[in-house]
Amino acid sequence: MNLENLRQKAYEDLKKASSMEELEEVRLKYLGRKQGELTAFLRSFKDMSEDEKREYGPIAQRLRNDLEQEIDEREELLKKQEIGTIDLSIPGVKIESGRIHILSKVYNDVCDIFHSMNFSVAEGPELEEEKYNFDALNIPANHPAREMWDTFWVKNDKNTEGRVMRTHTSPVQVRYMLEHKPPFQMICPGRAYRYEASDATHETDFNQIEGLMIGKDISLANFKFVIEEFFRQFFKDDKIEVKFRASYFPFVEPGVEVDVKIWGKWLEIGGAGMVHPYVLKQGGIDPAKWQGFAFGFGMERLAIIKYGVPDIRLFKSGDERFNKQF
Amino acid sequence: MKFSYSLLKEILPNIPVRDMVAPELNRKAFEVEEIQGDVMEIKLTANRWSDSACHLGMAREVAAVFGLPAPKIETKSSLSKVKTKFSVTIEKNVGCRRYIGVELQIKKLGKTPERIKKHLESLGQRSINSVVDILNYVMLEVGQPMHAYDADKVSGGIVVRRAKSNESLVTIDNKTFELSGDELVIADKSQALGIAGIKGGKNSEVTENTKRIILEAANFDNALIYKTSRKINLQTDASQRYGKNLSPELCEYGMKRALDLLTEVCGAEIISAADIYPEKQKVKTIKFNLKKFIAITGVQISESKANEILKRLGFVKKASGYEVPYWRMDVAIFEDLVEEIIRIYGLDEVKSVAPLIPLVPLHDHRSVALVKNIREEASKLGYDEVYNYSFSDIGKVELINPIAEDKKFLRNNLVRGLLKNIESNKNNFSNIRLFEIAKIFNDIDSEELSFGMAIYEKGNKNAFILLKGSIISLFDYLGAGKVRFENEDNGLAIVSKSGIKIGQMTVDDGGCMSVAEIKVDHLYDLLADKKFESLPEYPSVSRDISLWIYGKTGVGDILSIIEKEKPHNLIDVSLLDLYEEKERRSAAYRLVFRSAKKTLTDEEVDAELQKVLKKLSSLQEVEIR
Repeated sequence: MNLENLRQKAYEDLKKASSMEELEEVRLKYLGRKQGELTAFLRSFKDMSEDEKREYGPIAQRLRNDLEQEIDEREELLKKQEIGTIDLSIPGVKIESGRIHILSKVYNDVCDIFHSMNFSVAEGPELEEEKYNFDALNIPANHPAREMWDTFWVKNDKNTEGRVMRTHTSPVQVRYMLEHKPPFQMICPGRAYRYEASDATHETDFNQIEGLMIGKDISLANFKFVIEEFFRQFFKDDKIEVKFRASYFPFVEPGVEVDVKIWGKWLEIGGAGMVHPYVLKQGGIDPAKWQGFAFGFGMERLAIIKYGVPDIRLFKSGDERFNKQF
Repeated sequence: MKFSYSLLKEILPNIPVRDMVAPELNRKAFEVEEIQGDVMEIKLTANRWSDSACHLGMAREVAAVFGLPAPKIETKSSLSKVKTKFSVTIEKNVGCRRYIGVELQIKKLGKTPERIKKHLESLGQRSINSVVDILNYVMLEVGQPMHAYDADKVSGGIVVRRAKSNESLVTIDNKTFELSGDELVIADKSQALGIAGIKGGKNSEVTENTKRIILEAANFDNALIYKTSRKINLQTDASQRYGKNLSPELCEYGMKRALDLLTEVCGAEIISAADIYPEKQKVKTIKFNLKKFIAITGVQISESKANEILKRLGFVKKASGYEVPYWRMDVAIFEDLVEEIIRIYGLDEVKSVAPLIPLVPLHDHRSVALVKNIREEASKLGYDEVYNYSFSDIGKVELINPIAEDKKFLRNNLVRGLLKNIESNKNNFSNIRLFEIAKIFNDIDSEELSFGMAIYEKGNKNAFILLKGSIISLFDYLGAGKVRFENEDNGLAIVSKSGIKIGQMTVDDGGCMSVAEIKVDHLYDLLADKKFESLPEYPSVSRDISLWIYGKTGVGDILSIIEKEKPHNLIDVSLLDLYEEKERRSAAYRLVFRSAKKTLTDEEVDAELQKVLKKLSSLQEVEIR
């Protein structure tokens, strides 16, 4: 057997192969396990003398490698040629799945980010008792601070307790404190209600994200870290800056207004502060031993900023032209 | 609240320029909402009216913020030398903390000084007469609401009492108020002269002809004034201030300031005076703990710096702690001192520090993961999520103060909203699939998480088949097992694998629309992780059968009849095709057989099929095609 002839023959055949099928035929002809000519030659080795083996062995081996490589290259080329015959300008057929609402996406993102910082997610009733929504939060009846929350009151024929549509998700914090021993950190995202005329930036029925972190020495500086981290991740902005302004919320002391520089622009985002000792007490936590921060901001506001939604009312419009955008 | 920059400058002559004041106040004290010429609109927080709802208070705040000496307005008048007692009676426990009444002789009503007139006008107050103007000015200047009665229209002294039931009063602006008895009134021996802390009465109004006046500087229980003013729906500059808790100490200062001005402008002379002050305001002393301050704020500050800031704000250092100035009714605990110091020192000094905390295993509310899964699986099935309002035109729980007639109730289902969503989207879409997860309210004590789905396909009268299939798939994806559907009065009951009704389903719009609602709370017990089942080793064999179905026999009934026959090795039976004629329906079913032990032969499968066909042909309303 002349290996050089074999090589020439094989290369000629390969050049002629103009389809995947023909190429496969050539491969079988030379390299096929059963009838391949080169395979047969390699198999005949066992009957050769040591000298012959030493002479032909490397040449045969190299030929096999070369052929394999050539076949692969030819295959690639043929595939490309084949694709070339398809009309790739035909529009793709869309496979439509449904859409999770943009606010749910924000909710999921918020949960994910706070999970990454070891915060748990708590839930609570939306139709809330007056004592959890106000009194336990250091907002007693007939206190002007109540004017800060325009409240929907609910008819209650069963008993004399006041019932409200929660004006914030803070009552979830109180319930959580009563059920858990510190140290802990939690967020309570959810719906809240305010009795006010709706416009492009106000809704009667909206969503909030509040959070609470209680420990032996949790400070305002710790809050700054957590909230910067949250905004950095949520807005995917490494240049996030957070500033506090003096403010007043009855359930925190000191209380601050939180401004955040997002994508280069300062925006008012929400309120925060160190949990008021009275509120800790109402939550069954000893303020002499524990301290921590609480914060809250609007979920729609985050969505409006992040996705450029011009009107808060679009979120509950039920308009599929809106829903299908996200 | 409106503040005049020029009046602030009169009180605090070295006040920085307006454009510097606003940003510093914004950061350290109050939000300056608007500046219009001389007037700054400053949003006071509800806790700071006791000290800052006046120009002296705001000047004091500006001084503290800029590190300037605290401003003062000195007074000359004195009440201690007045010999004649003016008659004031405060009934027991009515809610009057202090009442200073001074009877004055007025020489001439005089002209209101231009300076005062100018300030009043720029702050939106109309000039009335010198006495009223001065009293209004004193309130804006030092914060104490004042009132003057025409002494000749008052019989006997002043009585502070609760209103009598059926008592009525005409206020100076000619409005009649019917009182019920809870309200506090200022009266003489025969009639009410004003609603305490809110508005004076017409009957004792000071006019051009007034010769003698009774001047009032009083203090009332803040909650009482707040409640009354809301009840009678009358909010005034006085009620706003009283409602937010003024110091009774302020009465005396306000009175002296007013007397100074009335003497100067109207030549007033004191005839008699009384100061009834049953329980003197206690001086609060708060211990300051620097270590705790640093622990709370994370800001390192020196004891002397903290001391300097508190001093600037009027706090006085004593051996037992810091004495709170009387006008700071809001400061009561150590944490209040922390706020005072950190805001003046600069909240920008709070630098972010990672908390050092023990790792707490996450324990989300159980709904969090389930809701997330439902959203994901429902959207995979092609359903878009919507958020609808909790308020509805019908429901079982009613609001006391609805925002609109069609939002009087809390919704007790989600499907009503979803149907509306479909209607409003029909113009733009012919194929609509929606879902919502939200709370519904069945009772004052029972709110629950609900999951609603809705489907609409224009021209497809079998929308419910699609929805039913979606629900079956959804339950499978969630790992909630199989669901059954049972007929009930107004649709179908959705029944869980454990046999509990967990929701319902109905059809609308001639079959083109179908909605379902499922109680999420019932799902928790159904959720189970799936277990691996061996992959089939042998091939399956299928057989199709076609039937005519007459009468009321359901297409789905046939499926259960076939299953009940328990054909050997049957692993699945499903509806393949369905179409309707006038009085009968054609339904094709596919039966799939497979053995775990061997490849089934045609003979074995056909024998089982015959059993099924025999049973079906015995049915009255079924004909095998």
